[in-house]
Amino acid sequence: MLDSMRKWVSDRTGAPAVVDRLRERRIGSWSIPHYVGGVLLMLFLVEVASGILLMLPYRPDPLQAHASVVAIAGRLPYGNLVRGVHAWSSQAFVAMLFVHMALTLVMRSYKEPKELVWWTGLALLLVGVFLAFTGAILPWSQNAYLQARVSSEMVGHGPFFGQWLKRMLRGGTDLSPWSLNHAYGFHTGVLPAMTTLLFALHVAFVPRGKPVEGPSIPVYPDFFVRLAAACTAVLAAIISLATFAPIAVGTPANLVTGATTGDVRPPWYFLFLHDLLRSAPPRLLGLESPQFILGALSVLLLFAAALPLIDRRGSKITAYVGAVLVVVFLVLTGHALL
Amino acid sequence: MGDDAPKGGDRRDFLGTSIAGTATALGVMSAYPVVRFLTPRDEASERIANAGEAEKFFPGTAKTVLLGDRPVLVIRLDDGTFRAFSAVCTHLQCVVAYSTQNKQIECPCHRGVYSLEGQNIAGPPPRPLDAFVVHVLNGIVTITEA
Repeated sequence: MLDSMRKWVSDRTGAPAVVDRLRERRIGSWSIPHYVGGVLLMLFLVEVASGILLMLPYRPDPLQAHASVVAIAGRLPYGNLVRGVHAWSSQAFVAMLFVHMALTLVMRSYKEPKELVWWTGLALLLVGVFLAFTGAILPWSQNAYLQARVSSEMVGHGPFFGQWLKRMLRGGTDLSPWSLNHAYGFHTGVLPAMTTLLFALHVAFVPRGKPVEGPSIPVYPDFFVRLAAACTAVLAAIISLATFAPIAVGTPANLVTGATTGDVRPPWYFLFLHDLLRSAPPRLLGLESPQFILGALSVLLLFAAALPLIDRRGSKITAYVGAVLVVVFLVLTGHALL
Repeated sequence: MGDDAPKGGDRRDFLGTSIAGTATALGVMSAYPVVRFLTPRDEASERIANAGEAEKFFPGTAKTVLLGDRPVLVIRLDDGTFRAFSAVCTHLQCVVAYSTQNKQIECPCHRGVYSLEGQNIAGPPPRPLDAFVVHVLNGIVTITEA
C-alpha cells in the first residue's frame, strides 16, 4: 500500500531523482557551517509558523498593541508558549547568524567561487537583524517605543538614503501612530519575503560538484539525519527557555506618564552600538557622533562585502581581523551591561 | 538567407532595446508613486498644549504633555517659575525626563544630561533642548511653540 503510494507520487514528481542526487552529493563530515545553516533554516520556518499564529490575535495599533500582547501571553491557551518560542527563536536566529558569519570569515569560505553566497549571506544578516528588531518593537512597551524612536533616528543618520529610509520606517518625519503599522508591515510582510528569497538564492549559489577534501558523508541520508538531531536539540532548548524563562512584555508605552530617567537598553545584538553611542562625545572628527559611528559601521560592511575581491592571496589576515571584531563585539556588549 | 541574417539581427536588436526601454520606463513610473506612498510627509501638528492648573503644579516637579505627537517637558522650578522644553533628546530623539533627585533633565537611552536651562551639560547630546513658551492664563498652564 505504502509502496504503491510512493510509486504513484514518484512517477508524477521525479522525487527519487532528487534523492538520488542528494545520495551522491557529499559534504565534509563535520562541516559546522552546514549544520548552523540548516539550523538557521529550521529556526526561520519556526518563526514563520509561530509568527503567523501570533498575527491572528495581535493588534498593530498603538492603543491596542500592548494589551493584545499581554492577552496573548496571559489569556490565550498556550499563548505564552507560542510567544516565547517566537521570541526565543528570534534570539537564537540572530545568534546563529553571527556564528555562521564568524565561521565563514575565519574559514575564509567567502572566497572565489563563493562570492554570491557571501553577499546573499551578508544581506541575510542585515535583514535577519532588522527582522528581529522590528519584532522587538511590536509589543509597544515604553522600552520598545523609545527603541523605535532611537533606532529610526539612527537610520536617519545613515549615508545617502538615511533620511528617506527613516521616513519610510516611521511612515512620516516624526514617530506617529502609523509608525507601529509600518514596523508591523515590515516585520510580517516585507522582511520575511526578502528572507525567503535570499535564503533560496544563498543555497542555490553554493557551488557544487567539487570533490570534498578530508572525510565526507552523503547529504542524504547521513547529513540530514545529523542535522535533524541538531535541530531537535536547538528546538528543545528553545521550548525550555520559552517555558521557564518567558520574556517580559514591559509597561505600555505612554509619553505622558511613562517618562523615565532609568536605563533603556536595546536587545543584546545592538548592545555594542548602544555602548559606542553612549560613550562617544557629541562630535567626532567634525561629525555628530551617531553619524560617525554609523558611517564607520557602513565602511566595515562595505569592506566585508569587498572581501572576496580583496582577499585573493593565501594570507590569513581576515581570520585575525574576524577574531578581533568578535572580541571587540563581546567587550562592548559586556561594557554596555555594566 | 545570407542577406536576411544581419537585417533580422538589427530588427531583433531594435525590438529588444525597445522592450527593455519600455519595461524600464514602466518600472520607474510605477516605482515613483510607491516610494512617495511609503514616505509621507507630516501633517501640520497642534500648536498649543494644556499642562493643567498652575495651583496643582507643585514647585520642584515636572510633567510631560503632548503638542500633537511631540512630547514637551514642563518643569516648575523651586522658585515657582515655569519652563518648557522639547522632551526629545538632541542626540537620537529618545524622550528625556526631569530627575527630581538630581535637579536636572536626563535621557534614559544614552545618559545624556541637560541643565534646567535646557543646556546639554554631559553625555552625547550635541545641542541644547528646543525651548517652548509657557503661558499662565486664568490659572491654566499652556504651552506654545517659541
